[in-house]
Amino acid sequence: MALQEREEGLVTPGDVLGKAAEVRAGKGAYEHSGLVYASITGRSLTVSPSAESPDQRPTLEVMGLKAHGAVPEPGSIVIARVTKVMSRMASLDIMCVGFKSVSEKFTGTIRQQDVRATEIDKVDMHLSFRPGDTVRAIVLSLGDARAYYLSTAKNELGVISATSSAGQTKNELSPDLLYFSHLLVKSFILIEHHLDEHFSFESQETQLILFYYCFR
Amino acid sequence: MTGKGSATPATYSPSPTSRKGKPPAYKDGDLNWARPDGRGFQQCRPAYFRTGAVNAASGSAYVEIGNTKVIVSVFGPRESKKAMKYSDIGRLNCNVSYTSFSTPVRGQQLDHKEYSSMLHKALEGAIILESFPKTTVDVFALVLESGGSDLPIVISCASLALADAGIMMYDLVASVSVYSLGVNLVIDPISEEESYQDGSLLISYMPSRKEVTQLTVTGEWSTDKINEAMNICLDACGKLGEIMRMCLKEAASVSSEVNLGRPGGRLKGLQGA
Repeated sequence: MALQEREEGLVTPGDVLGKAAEVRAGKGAYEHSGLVYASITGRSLTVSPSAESPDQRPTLEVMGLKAHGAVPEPGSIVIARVTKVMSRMASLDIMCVGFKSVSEKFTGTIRQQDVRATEIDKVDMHLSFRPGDTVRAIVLSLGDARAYYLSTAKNELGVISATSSAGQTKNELSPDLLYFSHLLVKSFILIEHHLDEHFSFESQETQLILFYYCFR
Repeated sequence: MTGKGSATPATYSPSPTSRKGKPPAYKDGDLNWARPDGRGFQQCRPAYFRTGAVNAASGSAYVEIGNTKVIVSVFGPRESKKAMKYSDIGRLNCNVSYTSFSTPVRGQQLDHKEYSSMLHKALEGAIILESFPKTTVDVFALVLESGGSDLPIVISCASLALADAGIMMYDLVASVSVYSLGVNLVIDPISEEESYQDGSLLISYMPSRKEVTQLTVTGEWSTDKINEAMNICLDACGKLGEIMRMCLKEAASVSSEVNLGRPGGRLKGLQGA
C-alpha cells in the first residue's frame, strides 16, 4: 500500500480539478459530465491508487480548512447523554460523533430491542439507562423526523459513565472495563442498590460483584 | 478588518467584447443621460467581499457593493425542527431581513417577503443537499444598508458564506441584475434607478458549471434586448465569481498560515477585529 500524496494549491467550490477519465473524485470533490470539481474550499491532494486496486486512476481529494460541524451518519459511533428513559425507549442527546464533538444539538433514541444483542424482549429500559448516563452507541439509521436510531447491542458499546444515586459519585469505567459495559449497563442499577456509595469499578471486589450479577 | 478578504475593492463590469458584434441597445438612445453615481451604463460598482464576519456562525460573509451592505450568517447543519417531515436529503432554510436603518427614511421598509424564497431558489441548486441528510442549514441574510440591487448581492454573499461554512457545493453562485431604463440597459442599479425601471432581469449563475440557478424577469422586454441583457449578466457573473473565489482563497491562505503554528486552532483575533 504505497499511497502517495501530493499536495497542490488552494481550491474553491466549483474549481475544475481534472478530467473524470484521468482522476477519480474523492472527499470534497464530485464528478459531473466528465469533469471533476471541488465542492469545498481547501487544499487539493492527489492520492495515488494502491498497486492492487483495479482502478488505476489517482484520486483527487480536497482537504477542507474549515469543515462544517459533525453530523451523525448511519454506522458512526457516537457518545450520547441519556435525557429521558421510557419503558420502550430512551432519549439521548448526541454529544460526539467519532472523535468530533457536535456543534449543534442532535437527539437520538435507543429502542428496547436495540439495547443488547440477546434476549432483546426482556430488556428493562429503566434498569439499563438512567438520565444523565453517558452512553457509547452506534447510529443504526437516520431514524424518523424526530431522532436518530441508536443501538448499544455490541460488546464495545453501552454506558461508559454514570452517576450513582447513592453517593452522587461519578464512576468512570476504566478502558479495560469498557469491554464489559454492555453487561454492566443491564444490571448496573441493580448492583448499585447492593453497594455502598464508596464503591469503585476499579476495585477487584466490585468487579467480582459485577461479574456475579452479569453472569447470574 | 485587515488580512481577510480582498484588500482593494475589485469591480466586475462585463467586458464590452462579450456582446459579439451586436450594437449595444443604448447606442441610438439618449447618450447624454447619465447615471446618478456617474457610472457607465454597463459599469458595476466596486465589490468588497470578506468571510468570517460573524464568530458565532458556522460560516459568514460580508459584502459591500457601493452603498449596499449585506451580512450573511450560515448555521448548521443542525437538527431539523420537530414539525418537519423526515427527508433523506438536507434542507435549506433562508431568511432575508432588513435593519430598521437600512433605508434613508428610518423604518420605511418595502415589502421584501419574497426575497427569502428567491434566495432559497437561487441557492438550492448549488448545494449538495445529499451531504447532510435529515439536517437543516440555516442562512440568515441581513441587509445593513439598502443601496440597490439588494437581492443579487444577498445571493452572492450567501453563497460565499456557505462556502465559508464548509457546506458542500457544486459551485459558487454569483448573481447580477440588469434593469431596463427606457432604451438603456443598466447593470447593477442603485435604489434610485430601481424606482424608474421599466423591466428587470436577475440571473443567479454558477460560473464554473456554466449553469443558471435562477432567472427572474419582470416588465416588458424585446427578444434582442433580453438577449443582450442576459449576455451582460452572465459575463458580469463570471467576473463576480472570480472576485468571490479570490476572497475565499485569500481567507484560506491566511487561516492556514495562522494555523501552521497551532494545529487545529483558529485565531480569534483575525475574525473579531
